Amino acid sequence: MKALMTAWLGAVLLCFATLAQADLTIEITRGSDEATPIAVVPFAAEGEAPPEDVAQIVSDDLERSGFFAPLARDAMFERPSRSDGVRYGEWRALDVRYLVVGEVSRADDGYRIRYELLDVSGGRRLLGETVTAGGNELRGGAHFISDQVFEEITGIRGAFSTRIAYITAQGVSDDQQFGLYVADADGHNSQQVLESRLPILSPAWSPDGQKLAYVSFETERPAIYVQDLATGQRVRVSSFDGLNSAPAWSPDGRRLAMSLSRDGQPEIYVMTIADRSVERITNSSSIDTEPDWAPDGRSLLFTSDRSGGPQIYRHDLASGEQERLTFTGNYNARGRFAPDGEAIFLIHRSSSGYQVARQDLESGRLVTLSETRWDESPSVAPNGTMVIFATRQGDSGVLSAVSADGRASYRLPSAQGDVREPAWSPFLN
Amino acid sequence: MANANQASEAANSFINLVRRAVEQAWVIPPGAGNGLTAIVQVRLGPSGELFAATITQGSGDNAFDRSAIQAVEAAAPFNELRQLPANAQRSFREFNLRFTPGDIR
Repeated sequence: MKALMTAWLGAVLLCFATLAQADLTIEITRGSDEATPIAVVPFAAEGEAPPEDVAQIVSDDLERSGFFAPLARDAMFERPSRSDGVRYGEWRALDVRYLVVGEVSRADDGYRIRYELLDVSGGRRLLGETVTAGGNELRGGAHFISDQVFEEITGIRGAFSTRIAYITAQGVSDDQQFGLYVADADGHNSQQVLESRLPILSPAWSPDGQKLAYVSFETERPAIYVQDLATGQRVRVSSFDGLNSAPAWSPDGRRLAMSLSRDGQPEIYVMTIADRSVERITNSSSIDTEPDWAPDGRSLLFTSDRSGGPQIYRHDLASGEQERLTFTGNYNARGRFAPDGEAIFLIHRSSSGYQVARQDLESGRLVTLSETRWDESPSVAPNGTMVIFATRQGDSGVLSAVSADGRASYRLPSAQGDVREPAWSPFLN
Repeated sequence: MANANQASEAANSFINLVRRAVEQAWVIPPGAGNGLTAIVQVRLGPSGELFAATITQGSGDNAFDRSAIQAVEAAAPFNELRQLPANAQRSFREFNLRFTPGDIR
């Protein structure tokens, strides 16, 4: 390549005399895929200091995504709160590509956050707006800013304003307590949705983000419930004989796929929520469970041990055809579609343990993402960039997340007791 | 002939320098899929200062296009332009950079 270029360059030079504007093209093929350097300058505060450090929340959001490397605050030689007068040359010398500056001030019954996103190398302002947040919604305002900054720079919609649902378990045997919680995607602002002395399992968000379906043993038998988060109103939708488990919403929110054992061993069924009618999907002599709907609503994933060990299959709803998808190793379970439908995330057992993995559907290639070894229940962020899952830390269950390319991972602040079965919400705004 | 060789060598080293400096400064945005290509037209001042870096052929991905512009802006100025023979300097004040991620550093 180099020799070729030299030879070709010689030819170009010969043409200099005749070509005033040489059409020289230099090929740039190498770059860094490291996280983009950004500085989120502490926001100025008018009057008393606000109860939350907005710039820190934005910085933490961006860092957790794995796409950004925020500059440490003690490396900031100036702390501007607006774009005028920013010394771009000096930020550039620190190799910072983007700068976020802003100011928080009190508004009538809340706060006004003014922020700007600046392109350091070009000395340009890319974004500038004012966000209003209620008295206790400063964190929400910060996550909104993270979403805007993330989308402007990466072109991918931010998922920082989304929520997660999860189950907690405390105590032992007779004295156990289970809780269903909903929290911000960063683990803050957790709220209890349901409490029970008997197990709660498998929370699943409705596509509009307003309801959760889950399994509760509160009547001493497993049943599937749907609960409205705003009103707390709940309905028991499935309590057939035997197992009622693993609810999964259709993309239009009108049906639930689930695993029922009313006709023998667990099989996949689809229930139309309005009239509670159920249609049997699988018919095998093995255990079929953990359904998930394709984003286009046309097929279902499920786990089956029909080949001996658990593997993931896809059922085409129009043709009724079933196809095995996973062939790497002898344990692949709990498949979840990527939002674009082009890959699935799952739990794969390798010599290192049970780990979160991604399989590209076209190539069939499976890549392990997590570095932990007792991973369960992966759930994908609605923008497809992160996967949250449950794993073990010492004696207790904790929540962890890994980026869809495996480059970045983080652990969520631990709630009390064992934490299990996280479910990432759809976009809520 | 010796002059032509020297000129060719100087020009070659300038091209290599531009390529290295821009590659060094290029942070490929995550999520930019394979197969993207963008061409940036670069215009330099007499001392190698950046007059303009504009996309002449976009990749269709804004984040990718901006990363290319940013790489040029971060790599500039190209002061070494002045080390080129006087008659070559003019010709190198305008060139194209084709950004195609091959290897990731």
